[in-house]
Amino acid sequence: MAIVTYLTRAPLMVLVGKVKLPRQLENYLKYMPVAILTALVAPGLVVKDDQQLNLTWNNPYLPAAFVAGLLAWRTKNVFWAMVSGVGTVIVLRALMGQ
Amino acid sequence: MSNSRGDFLLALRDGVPLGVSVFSFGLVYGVMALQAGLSLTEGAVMSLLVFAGASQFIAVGMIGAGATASAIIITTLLVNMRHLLLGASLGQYLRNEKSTKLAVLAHFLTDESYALSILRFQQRPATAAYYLGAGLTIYVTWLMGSLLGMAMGATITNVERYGLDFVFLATFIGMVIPQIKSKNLLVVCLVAAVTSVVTALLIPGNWYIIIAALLAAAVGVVGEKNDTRNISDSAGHGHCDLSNQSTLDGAGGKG
Repeated sequence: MAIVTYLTRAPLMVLVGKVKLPRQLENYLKYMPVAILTALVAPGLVVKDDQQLNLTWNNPYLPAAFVAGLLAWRTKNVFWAMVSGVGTVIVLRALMGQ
Repeated sequence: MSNSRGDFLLALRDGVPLGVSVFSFGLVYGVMALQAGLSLTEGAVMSLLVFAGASQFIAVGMIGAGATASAIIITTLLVNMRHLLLGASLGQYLRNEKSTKLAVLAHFLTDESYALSILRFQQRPATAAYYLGAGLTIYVTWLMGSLLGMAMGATITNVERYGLDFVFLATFIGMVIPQIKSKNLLVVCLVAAVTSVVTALLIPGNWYIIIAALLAAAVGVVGEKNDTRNISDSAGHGHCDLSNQSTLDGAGGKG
């Protein structure tokens, strides 16, 4: 993992000036972070371990995700998004007696 | 002649705000790594050698979910791809440095160190010293956070009661939302969300991440082409602009 990550850092930093990524590739990679992170998060919110959808009211993740998203949008701060989301889960679970 | 030492110290000072965010981010990572079953050594080594927040979070999540090594490596590669862009962009400013020196400096390339450096380099002469100062600040705070997180994590037994199973998701939501700065990016996000969920329901394993990401990014490119009146200038970089925000992975996108 370290090797792979280093390979994303070093080669271009050292070689650039000689090599320029094709414009299309640059454009494509630009969207990768948003795409990947979203792809990571979405199923985690609604897909249970047995590959079933969980959109019921019992799922504290949904409202929590909404709260986290709201905080993220407003404060643009990862920390607050995280804290508010986790806090929501704690509160909801306590209320639901889980 | 540029003042290397001065630049280095300046970078340390400039890097403090971001360093604080990175530290708290590291805390979260540390706890998560522990929850996923990594030992203190394993988690610490990952922070030391990989030093790429988002990908470390993802990897840890995947390890906890029992993903295969190849899936984790491919995903890491994809998430950290943006380093190629960050490296290329920054490399232009540091092209006078020796290759071997750059090869070492490269390890400290993250969204944050990139952001700090590029902002400065656009106004003052670029020095490797500044970049190194920025990189080290982030590196040290990240390590400290990771270690502390892992140490603290051991004392937390009932994960669900503290909502810690949601930490990972909440953090990523916090990282993605601020990145959605255009309608096109919103579309990319939605496509990724829908595709990943559908794929996850249909195909076992963690392939939904890669498949959804590849598809959604492609949609982004197509969407951009359709905005013909669009900006051709800001292309070039494509880095995550985090100068005003709290951390995205150690590597931006961090990672």
